[in-house]
Amino acid sequence: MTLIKRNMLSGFSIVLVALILYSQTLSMGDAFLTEGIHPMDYPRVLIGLLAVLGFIIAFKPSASACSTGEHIAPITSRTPLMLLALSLYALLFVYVGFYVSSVVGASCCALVMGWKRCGLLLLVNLVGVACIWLLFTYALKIPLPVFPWW
Amino acid sequence: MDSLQGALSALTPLNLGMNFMGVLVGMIVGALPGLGSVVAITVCLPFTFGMDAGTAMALLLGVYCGSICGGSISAILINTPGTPQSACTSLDGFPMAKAGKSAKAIGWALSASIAGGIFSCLVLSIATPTLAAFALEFGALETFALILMGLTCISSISAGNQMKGLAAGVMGLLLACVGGSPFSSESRFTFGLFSLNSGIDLVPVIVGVFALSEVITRAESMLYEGRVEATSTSGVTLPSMKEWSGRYWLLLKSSIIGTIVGIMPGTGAATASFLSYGEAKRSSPRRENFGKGEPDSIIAAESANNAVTGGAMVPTLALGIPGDPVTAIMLATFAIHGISPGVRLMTENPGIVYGTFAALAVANLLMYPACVITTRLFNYFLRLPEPILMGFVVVLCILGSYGARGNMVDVVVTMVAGVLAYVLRRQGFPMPPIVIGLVLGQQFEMSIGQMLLFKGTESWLSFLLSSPIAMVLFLFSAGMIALPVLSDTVKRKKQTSS
Amino acid sequence: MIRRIFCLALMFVVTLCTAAHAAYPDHPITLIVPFGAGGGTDVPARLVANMLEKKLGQPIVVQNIVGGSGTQGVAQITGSKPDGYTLGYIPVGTVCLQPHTQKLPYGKDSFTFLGMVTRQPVVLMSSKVAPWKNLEGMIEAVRKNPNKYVVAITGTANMTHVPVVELAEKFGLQFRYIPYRSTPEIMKDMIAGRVQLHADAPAALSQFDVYGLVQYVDVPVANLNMPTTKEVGLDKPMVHWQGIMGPKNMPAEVTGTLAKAIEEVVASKEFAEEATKISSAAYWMGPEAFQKQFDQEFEYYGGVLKEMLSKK
Repeated sequence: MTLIKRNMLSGFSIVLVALILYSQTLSMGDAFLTEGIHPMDYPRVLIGLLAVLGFIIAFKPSASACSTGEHIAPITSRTPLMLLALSLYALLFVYVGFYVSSVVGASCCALVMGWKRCGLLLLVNLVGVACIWLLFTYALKIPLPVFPWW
Repeated sequence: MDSLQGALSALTPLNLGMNFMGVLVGMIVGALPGLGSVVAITVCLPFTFGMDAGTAMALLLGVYCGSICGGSISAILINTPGTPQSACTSLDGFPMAKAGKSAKAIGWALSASIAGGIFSCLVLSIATPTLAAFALEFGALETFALILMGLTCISSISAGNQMKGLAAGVMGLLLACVGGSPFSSESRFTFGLFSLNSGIDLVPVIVGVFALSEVITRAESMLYEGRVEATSTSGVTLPSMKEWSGRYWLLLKSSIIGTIVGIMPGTGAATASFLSYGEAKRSSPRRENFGKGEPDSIIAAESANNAVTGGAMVPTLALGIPGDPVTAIMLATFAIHGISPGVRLMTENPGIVYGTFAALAVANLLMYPACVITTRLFNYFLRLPEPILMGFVVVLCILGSYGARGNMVDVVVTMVAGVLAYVLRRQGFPMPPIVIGLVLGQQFEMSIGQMLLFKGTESWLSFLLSSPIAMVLFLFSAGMIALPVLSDTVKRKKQTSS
Repeated sequence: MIRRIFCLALMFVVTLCTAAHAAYPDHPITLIVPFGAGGGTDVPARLVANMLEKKLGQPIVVQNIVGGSGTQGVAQITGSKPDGYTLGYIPVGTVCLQPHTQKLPYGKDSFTFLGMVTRQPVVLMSSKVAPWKNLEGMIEAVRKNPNKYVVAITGTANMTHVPVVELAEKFGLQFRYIPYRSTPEIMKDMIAGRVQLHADAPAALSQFDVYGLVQYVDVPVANLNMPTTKEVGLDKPMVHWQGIMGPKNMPAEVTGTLAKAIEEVVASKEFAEEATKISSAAYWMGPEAFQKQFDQEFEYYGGVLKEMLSKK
């Protein structure tokens, strides 16, 4: 993708996001006001600013929006797999709690990153997750969500 | 006499030991992604009930300093800032570690932290009453001006990529709008989800934007690069005097920024490190190297965030006004030990106040041994094969962001932030502005509203003229916006003419 | 090898399941605090938890669930299993006021009441640099200069806002209400003289350089040296209480055990002393009385807020 195309794409995405957010500000009619400051005034100004910036990014010659200096590796099949693994982890964490999701999540990440020895991986992760659980529950006193049906 | 005795009480073996324990615990907890000072302090809180006030303060202050410094260890070694205030450190610390100089990078971070902390301690012990009076001068208008100045550092941080930097900054400000509005009980942008009512917290966004998006990037880049060799150069190497030469002014400036930001209640270490990083990126003679492993950037961020500790003690001790949750816990500890905090604390209990100053200074010095131990511990963790290590990093990221508020929505926010940040980074958007926007957003909106309400029917001119501090800050902000733009244009003209 | 691990894991699970049916409490209890660590709700909660775990013989883990001015944490409590292992340390505002002004996943009937822990009247505090010395002086000054003096609030229609609105209503006063993020920030502006008035629990009086104008009770509280609202003719007592509650439908034997243990702690002399140190006041009220008071206050604040909203 050329730089100009990339900038067009990101610019218009920003404008789209701004539009979606603006639609959200309309639903609130009469707010419970304090001294006449509407809670949506400030976000609306920001959204307007965002839309303007989006247009500038989309149409300004690419000189202003050159590279960030960050080297970014090209996409291979790993990226979508990694995104999938992460989303799976978050979903599992919300629905089945800490133990299962963390073992599955950590294992998936390692597999996506090219780890091959499944048995060892499972063992290391089981032990690691148990250690982390001990650390959080007994040392840090942060209760973790376990199985919800427990 | 009382004050001298108080100061010496920080040096008893018990207090020294507790101080060291605190620094160590703080550093280890701070190094875990997402978990910061508040978690570290609540862990130690039950132990303080049985101690006397001086010992309890030594422990808590140790935790405070240690946790702020600890975040930079994970920021440097695995590009996963442990705390919001160390997000800037990873920008140059990790490239240094990649180049095989991780021990040096930690050395820079540690020495800058110690220097910043000690500087703020000195200021604290000399000028607390004066500074407290200065802090009282900051009303809504002045706060607005200060935050505006903080936001302008987006312009210098994203030099050469202004528009995308600004857009990212506005996105950050909008993220800060999610949840309850400060001016009514309505909630905004929650898309009907009750759990979003409480807003988007900083910790999950930091963890997602810096740590998770890095994991995604690593999954790709591992195919092309080797692993980061942190183990070969384990430990901490302090920079020599020769390497420090030419950087003293930067260190002093960053420490001053950190101390001043610390004095303002409700701002915090993350703001300080971003402000000082932005200033360094604007003015450092080595700014071209920023992002490629330049020590200047580490110095700026680390000295500023640790200088906040001393600054934050000013309103806490002199006025009884805590600037952040950590100092609030310290005041509560005073109260539990029968010492009533507040304006009378310094006159009624000079012993405990000077003991606190001394304990804070000692805690800064004890950071060196604690950092060596923590880095060693961390190196065991780093010896794991990288895919497995990254799996654990992901688990710790999620737990850290969940643990900060105990809100399930934060888990989802972390993931979404990670994925979005990955996409935005590919599109060439710089990440720090989003975080700056989010850090400052809520207070920015609040101060705008307060300012309008305080202004009332007065005319703008007389309202602005009534505050010289705000006018100075506005001038600074204008300068900070104009200079990078000017230098960009000048450079471009030179390029076209040559 | 793998089979052996599997067997061990199975045994572990089975033991855990059987253990779950022993007498209450047999594993650690979580006490949810809907505000941040070190604040006015958290500190007394940790104090109670610390003493209560000795009585119950099981650790009590204090969990701060922060956000939405306390509603997030309360929602978590009402949404949890009513088995007595998730309890909440709840202040009045989150359950008596917020449900009237926001859409919340909990309401009047979402709780099991276990006992009140602390109780203090709302106090209207004044900055020392404000141009008055007492309530009469304040009323006179505000009448002369309507819309000049500033009242700081921590949120719309909460316990820092409603009491002042009621007072203003009664005496025909016009203030400017300016929201702040936290009490310390308000205190900074009060000491500096930008803000003149703020209503809150009396804890702030001993910590900061401010003084009380009036206390919102019928019978004056010891060690609060100021007129009561009854004396000045405003018959609207308002108190800050904090209590321990659980989700609704908790089994009777569990609530019985808990209420007894909490009573032993809160009514003890040690707790009263510790509470005074942190500028709070221990006050025991059993489950039935607590429920009754809650019902009354819920209706009372509902009416007050409805009136406030209709005038806006």
